[in-house]
Amino acid sequence: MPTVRQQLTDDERRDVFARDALPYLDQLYSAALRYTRNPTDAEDLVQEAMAKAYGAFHQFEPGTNLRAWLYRILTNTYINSYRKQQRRPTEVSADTDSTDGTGEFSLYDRIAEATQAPAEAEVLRRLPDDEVKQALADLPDQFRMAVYLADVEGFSYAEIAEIMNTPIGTVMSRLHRGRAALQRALYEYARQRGLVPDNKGDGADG
Amino acid sequence: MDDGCRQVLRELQLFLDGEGAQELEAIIVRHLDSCGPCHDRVEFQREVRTLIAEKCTDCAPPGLMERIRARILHGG
Repeated sequence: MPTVRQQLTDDERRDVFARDALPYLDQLYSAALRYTRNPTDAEDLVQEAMAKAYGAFHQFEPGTNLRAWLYRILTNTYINSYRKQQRRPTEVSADTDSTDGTGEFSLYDRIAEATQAPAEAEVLRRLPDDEVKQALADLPDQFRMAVYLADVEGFSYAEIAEIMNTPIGTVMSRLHRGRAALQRALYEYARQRGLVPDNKGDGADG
Repeated sequence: MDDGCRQVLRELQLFLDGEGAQELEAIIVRHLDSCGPCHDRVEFQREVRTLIAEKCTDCAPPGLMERIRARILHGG
């Protein structure tokens, strides 16, 4: 594959990388923090991914999607070196929403039922950031990563498939289940905070 | 709830992700124009995504950029 990069001198490579790749640092760190769920590991992960990206920068084809390329390196690095060592505390199953695949959890309906009015997302806005982050953090890896890449970073299915090295159908299913589990968790947080009336009690799932 | 509503429910994710075929998108947009409950439901889901995006974003800690420049770009 033809690339102009191979002709860059070391100095040029450094300048182009600093100009084009480093501005993504905040975003990559944010993703790393969602992946690893702790700041120390996130910082290590970003540094390792940036080092790999810099080392492989000659393989990047100019004019293609640099952001997705960087996320792919970050994601692979996480999967290969971090995920295994991480303790996994209380992951909820993304599978818990229904037993038969039809009675799926609907945050909209749940809030509407509890408030006797069309649901407003405004209610959830009153949740502290930390609780929303925690709700995401509690999702199993593959779901958390897919939801983050889609909902926070705005990547397309095709880009997420590339980044996670998985078929598009798998991406769609992870998004579907991951989002449902996330919304269920948000509902619980909102209920505990009294943001929605607690008139359903426990065990009202399904 | 009619067939149009059921279709919106079925295709909600595809539609909100902007990944549906153009014809599907047109059908759903037309339905949303005339169906309040579906419109509310779709807007709710859209807002939930916006909210998650807003609340789950962090900035790199101070000094990380400099460390990366020093260690990686300048081999320090």
